[in-house]
Amino acid sequence: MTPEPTGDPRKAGASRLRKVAPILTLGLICIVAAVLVYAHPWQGDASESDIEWSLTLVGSSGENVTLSLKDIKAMESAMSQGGFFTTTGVVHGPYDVKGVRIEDLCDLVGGLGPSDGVLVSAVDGYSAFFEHDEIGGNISTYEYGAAAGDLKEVPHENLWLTLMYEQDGKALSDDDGKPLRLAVAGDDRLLTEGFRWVRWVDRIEVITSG
Amino acid sequence: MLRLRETVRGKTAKISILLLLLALLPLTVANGACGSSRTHITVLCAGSLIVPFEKLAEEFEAAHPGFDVLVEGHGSIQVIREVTELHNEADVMVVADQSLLPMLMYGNKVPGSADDYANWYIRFATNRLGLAYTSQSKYAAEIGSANWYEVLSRPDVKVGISDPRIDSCGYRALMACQLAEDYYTDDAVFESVMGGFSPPLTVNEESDSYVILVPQAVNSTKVTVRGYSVQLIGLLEVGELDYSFEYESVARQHGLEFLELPAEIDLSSEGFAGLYSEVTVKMDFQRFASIDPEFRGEPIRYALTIPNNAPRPGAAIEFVEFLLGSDGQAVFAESYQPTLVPPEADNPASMPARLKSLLEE
Repeated sequence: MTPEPTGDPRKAGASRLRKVAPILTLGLICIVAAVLVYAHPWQGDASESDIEWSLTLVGSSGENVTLSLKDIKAMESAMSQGGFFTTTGVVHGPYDVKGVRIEDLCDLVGGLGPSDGVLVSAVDGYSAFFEHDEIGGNISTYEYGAAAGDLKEVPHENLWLTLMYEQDGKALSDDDGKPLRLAVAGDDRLLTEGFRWVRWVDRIEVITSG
Repeated sequence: MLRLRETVRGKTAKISILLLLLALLPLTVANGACGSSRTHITVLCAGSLIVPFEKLAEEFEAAHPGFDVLVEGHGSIQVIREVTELHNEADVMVVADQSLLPMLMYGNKVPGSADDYANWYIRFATNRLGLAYTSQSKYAAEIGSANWYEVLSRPDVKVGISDPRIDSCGYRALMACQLAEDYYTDDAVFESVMGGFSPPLTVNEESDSYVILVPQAVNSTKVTVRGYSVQLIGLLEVGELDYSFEYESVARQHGLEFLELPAEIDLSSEGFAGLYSEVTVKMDFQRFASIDPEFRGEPIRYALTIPNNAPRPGAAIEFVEFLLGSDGQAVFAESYQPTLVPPEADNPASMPARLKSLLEE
């Protein structure tokens, strides 16, 4: 039996390192790939409260309040369910929606009068206006599973506007309007028109009609 | 020992390969790229073109197996915003209003580049506005191009339009009703068809032209308003509506009856462009900070461009050649989508050379 050669221990160490280096490198790639694919670190998690974001609330008399994401998450939250469809009938959701009801936010700047609506605006320059009865849930709803051209309008029991910060238990992704999106949702898993689901909301203004 | 070392090396190599495969597996699955090396082409198109464009994508892929076409339908303004404001990538962009491309893309620089987002477009398709209905619609047997506005004004007739604040078909319906007043010499057409709005839609006459003012909130006791025309089709089919203003191609694609309106009203004819331009719709509500919410009447012309930041311009040219060629024409004909033959470009000098030949008859 030939004995194992015994050389410079530093060389032996370097040789061992050369052998395991590919394994270590690939192991590292594995870990990074798994984190990137499964953990979606860019999407954040539900506890991500410290994103720098300002929501400006403006009351009908001009009263102004600015809230951080943390402030919003500290408010009483509302759970609801709902989804939307696009101009060509492509369905998104329905989702489990968590956020703060619009009326609760409006209460911080004097509340909503009987003829008041809200203008919800986003950092990308997009806006949607909601009349008073729409804030109260008077918005057409459609059945889940309907395909383009086959949308079935159905009645609903309760529907309200939520400033959503969690969708299906997770913080919103960039594409979904991170960190705040307007959601039209309620007790049923119904769909509404997508143009109302404003992404990247940074301003809500109470406007008195007429 | 040499054999032992080789075995160790062999094991190391096998473990390395295994780990590499494990590392690549989630990426492969996540990208949906299992076994696919096809070139993607992203096409953003106006919602009213979704039916022919999905067919075009299918036929193009069948004829060009190396390509994978993804078609996304949006409102025309959103088609452009997806690229210029949301910075999503697109290889081909198609809108239902040719004026939007120069308005929003010319002179608008791609970040980090001296290029505008676009500097040419091709007009390639048209449409006409009319009334969609079914055989069950009230007075379906008696409605025609001479009495449609009188039928629509009857109290038991349910009429629908898409939201003029959201959808081009909606504000074009308002334009058509105003144009009808001059055509039929009846000053009551607009109010009798588009009545019941609170706050009201108002029409101001300003030296040979009309400006229709649409308030921030759009709600009518007479007219059913929905965000998108696809919703009106559903309501027509279940009898919740009798008539809705629609583009001809969309109505026919869904198997609905379609009443053609006179060319002086239906926004289809280049010959009446001067007449159409006498009507403007102005919104009290600004949906997009970058868009002045004021739309002037003009013939409906669909237009396309390849943005200067398209990630795959060569593939985009290939797709546009197919679209404008005989195969594409056949798809449009099957989809009741009228086309312009030959297509027309606003700035041929800036177009890719390969596309210029398509402008010749």
